[in-house]
Amino acid sequence: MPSLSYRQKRLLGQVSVYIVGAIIIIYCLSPIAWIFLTSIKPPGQEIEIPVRYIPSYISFENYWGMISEIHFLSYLLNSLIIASITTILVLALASLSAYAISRLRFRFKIASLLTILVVGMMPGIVMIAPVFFLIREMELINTHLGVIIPHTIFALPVAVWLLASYFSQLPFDLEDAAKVDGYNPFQVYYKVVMPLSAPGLFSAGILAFIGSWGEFMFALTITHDIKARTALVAIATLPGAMHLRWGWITAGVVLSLIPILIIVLVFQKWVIQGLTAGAVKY
Amino acid sequence: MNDMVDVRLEKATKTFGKVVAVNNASLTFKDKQLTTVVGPSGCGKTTLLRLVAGLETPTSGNIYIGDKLVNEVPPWDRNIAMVFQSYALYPHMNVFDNIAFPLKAAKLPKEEIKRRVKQTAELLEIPELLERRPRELSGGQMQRVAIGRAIVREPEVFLMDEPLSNLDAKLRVYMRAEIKKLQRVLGVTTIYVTHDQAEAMTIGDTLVIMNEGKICCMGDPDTVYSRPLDTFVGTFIGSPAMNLLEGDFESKKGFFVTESLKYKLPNDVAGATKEKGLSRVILGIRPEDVTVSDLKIQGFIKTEVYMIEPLGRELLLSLKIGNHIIKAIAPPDIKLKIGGDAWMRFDDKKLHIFDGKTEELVV
Repeated sequence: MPSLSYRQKRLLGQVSVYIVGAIIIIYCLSPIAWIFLTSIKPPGQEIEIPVRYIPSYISFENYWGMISEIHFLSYLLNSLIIASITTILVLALASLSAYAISRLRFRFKIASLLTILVVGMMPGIVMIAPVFFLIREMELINTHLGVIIPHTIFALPVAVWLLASYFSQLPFDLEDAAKVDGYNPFQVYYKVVMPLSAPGLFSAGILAFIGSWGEFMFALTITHDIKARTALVAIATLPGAMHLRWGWITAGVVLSLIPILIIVLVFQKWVIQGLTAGAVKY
Repeated sequence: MNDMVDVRLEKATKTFGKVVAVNNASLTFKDKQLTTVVGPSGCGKTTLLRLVAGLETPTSGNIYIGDKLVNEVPPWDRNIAMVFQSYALYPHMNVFDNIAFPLKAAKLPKEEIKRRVKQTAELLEIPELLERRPRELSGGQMQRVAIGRAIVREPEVFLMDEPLSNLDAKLRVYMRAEIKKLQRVLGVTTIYVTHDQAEAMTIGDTLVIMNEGKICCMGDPDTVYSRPLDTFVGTFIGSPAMNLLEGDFESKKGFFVTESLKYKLPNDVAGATKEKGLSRVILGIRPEDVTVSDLKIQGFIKTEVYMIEPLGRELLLSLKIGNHIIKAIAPPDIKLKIGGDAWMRFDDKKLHIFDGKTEELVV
């Protein structure tokens, strides 16, 4: 085999990086593409043998069915309310506790951090029965709040850890300087710490939002109709005992992907900064 | 700037767990003066400054700014300004907003803020930087902005924590003079912390030396230099450090004696030492007070040249007598070589005798 020059080797290296990248992307996106293509097929074409990849004409009938007959937009709204309030609660609680953890000297700091971590790592299924009984006792079954509470609990640990590592990177001197400059601790937090940790807050917020949006088990257990049921649960529990309406299911999935896509695209710059934060200590 | 603004510490102590950072410090930083606090790292000088700033509260003792007891007053309610070693500029604000930040806290009208920021920028010769972000500034420029943020509010007390230590040597010497000049112009009581004894000597009206959390001495730099209260002060202030020789005092004839050296002390020094009834003493002499000759001279002590370090303008010699090494400063044209002989004597007027046990100055 003829030996390659350095330049050829480097070119080969670059090309193979792209090839591997392309394979990964295709692997990840193909189910989504398949779902999207199915959702725009006219009724009756969703399942065919031989397989038809490209619909013969584009039809939005599945979307129309979901919206008018299932009232899917109401479920989407439920999801949006639950995920948004969860996000706000998570950010408010996590940022305060993370700030305290990164700044204050107190006993059992490591112990409390580890406790938070343990809660975060506990599989949800272990908690589902006690949480269900609790929510029932609180008479919050089939309400938004009934879902928001467990979602917030499960999103908090990750958010606290992410924000604590973010805050501990901020130099203490900045806060001391702001205090000397005449700002009380709450103003310092609001004027200096918050703007500087915006990337961390964004990524913690988006993680909480996506987590709540995609959570299935608790939403399924706690809600039972259009009053509070989330979009994903609604898709999974579509009526139709005899045959699954694949067209409607795929249309619902595409609809529920849209808000997530918008959020990630808008905030992606900050998310990347935030997710890599804490990786390097200096 | 109306009243006298002395900053007074009264038996102030600050402990962190078992570590005593500031130990029973009582002193007054005088109104309108620039006082430098110097000491080796970890001596508690930064903690002392943070106590005055209110960023730390004293474990015991009192702190007064002017006539007001400020122990319980948080930093944001004290009218003080501080320059940090790291400058601590707010990275998300441009220079204008950084300097305006304390004024915004005071809720001054916008026009007034604008006027004062501009005025400050001109005083510090940085008006062209106002739109820039801190990360676009050089070290010296960041330093000026940090000073600007401190002076813009016309504080009662001005605190500086090693403000020059991140600058290169040349800029440091330049900024040293600038800060001194600025302090004169503004006439604000200033406390300046540094580990650099040369900086502390040149910049301060008053010099405070700290060691292991305690205030060792306080006074104007010349006095501290020429009459060091103990061996720590003697060796810490001045570079190269003061020579210290431990030995016995023979009170009959007034000799200072070690294994390899016998030195006749001048009568006044011998007399004072005798009065204290000391036998074990430490003799201190600064390198520049040692006269060295390459020729044998009557009354000079013979030594061996151990090391020669050219400093440019002069030579730093290490002279060996028995097991003592004595540092001396000599003119560069002296004809000496390592291992050769040299003759030296001490300047009798600049000799210091310290108590061998307490290490405190006797004379």
